[in-house]
Amino acid sequence: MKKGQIEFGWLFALIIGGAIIFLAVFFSGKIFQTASYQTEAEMTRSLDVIFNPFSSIRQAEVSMSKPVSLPQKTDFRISCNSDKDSQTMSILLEKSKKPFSYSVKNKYIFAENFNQKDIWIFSKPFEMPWRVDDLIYIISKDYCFVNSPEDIKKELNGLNSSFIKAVDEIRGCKSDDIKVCFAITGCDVYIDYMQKTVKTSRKTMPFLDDSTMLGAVFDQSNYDCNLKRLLSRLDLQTAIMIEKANIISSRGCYDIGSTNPDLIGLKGALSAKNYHEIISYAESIDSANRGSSCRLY
Amino acid sequence: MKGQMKIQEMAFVLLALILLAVIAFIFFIRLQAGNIERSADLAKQQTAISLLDKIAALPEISCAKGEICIDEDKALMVERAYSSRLENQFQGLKNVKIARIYPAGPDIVLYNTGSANQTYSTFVSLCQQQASDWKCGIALLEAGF
Repeated sequence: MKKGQIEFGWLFALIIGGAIIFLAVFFSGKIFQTASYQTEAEMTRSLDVIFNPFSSIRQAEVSMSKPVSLPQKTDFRISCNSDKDSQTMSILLEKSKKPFSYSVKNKYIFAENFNQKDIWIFSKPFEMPWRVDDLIYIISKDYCFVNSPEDIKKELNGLNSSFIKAVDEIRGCKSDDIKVCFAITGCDVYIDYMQKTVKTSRKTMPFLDDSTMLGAVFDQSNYDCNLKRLLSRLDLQTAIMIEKANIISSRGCYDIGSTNPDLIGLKGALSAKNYHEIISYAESIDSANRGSSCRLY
Repeated sequence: MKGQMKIQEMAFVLLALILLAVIAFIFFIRLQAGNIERSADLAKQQTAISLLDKIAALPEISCAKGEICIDEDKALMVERAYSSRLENQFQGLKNVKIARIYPAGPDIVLYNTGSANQTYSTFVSLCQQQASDWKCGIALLEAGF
């Protein structure tokens, strides 16, 4: 063998060794990626499971509130599609990787996108006039409600959330809080409780009750879509209630039959998207239901 | 001749090495797949248990405020006319039905898109509203995946 000439065995070993190392690195990378994707998938499914008790409180006028600490800092995004009547949650644990997306069709989630470990989940029933469903709010920023009506103030402070406080004056808020004001201007979010609107610098959103008002405060991006989904659900429930009123009326609950014109009116107001009429019919149905010997809901 | 022998020797060693690596890789993949299947089953089980409670509380089929039961009249309405409009509420499930236990009677099928691999169930009160009170029976709320 000439000097400087590489022996065939060495060359062969180098090429095959290189190929083996390359394949080992490639497959371990792939396996790691799969493991990371699996963790994201498990976490998204777990979140969906965690949300279930928040959306089936059963009792009306009761809120449920819990702090949630995610296993690690998480990039969470949520979008809404009213045509598909669904929301898509995306979870990304590591940057530059593909997020895991999961479609949620049986919940109404109000959340801003966030990238953190600790969040607060809180839910409240949407009642118009019966419990349509429970709205889930995921809070990841500090909110300060100023000059809110006494019952809202009591409810918000009763949540014992480190993210939410209700105070009488704006000086009670921290400088980096998102300030939500009732009948006071100069805040990030302004609520006109009489006109039933939530105003931000970007848009004005009509609301129907306190639960939808909070939805507009906590998530302006998905609010319109979720409201549309909720009203579609209320439309279905109204159709069921009309039939139910007829059935129990025929069994001797004659006074419940008086709710039928209002139920039909509610269905019409839902089709016309007339929010003031929806509220008015709901109040009228609620009053008749309370006065009836056998309740419709 | 000696060189050729050496190449053959090396090729056999390499082949054995690759075979060993492939076997180890298959073993690892099977282990990983087993883990994924287990966590998928656990996720399904958790979803089923939490969904059963959510379904029982759906305003479309539940009794009036204060009564923890399923309203038979509403459930029959859903079975007859509103099942497709309610399908989003049964996300992830293949079928949902209420099987009457006492008094015996036909099942109320709330949702059906095919036969399920696994079924989870919970006891519920199935009640019918009368003029002055509720007439109740016992039923099983079944959710199939």
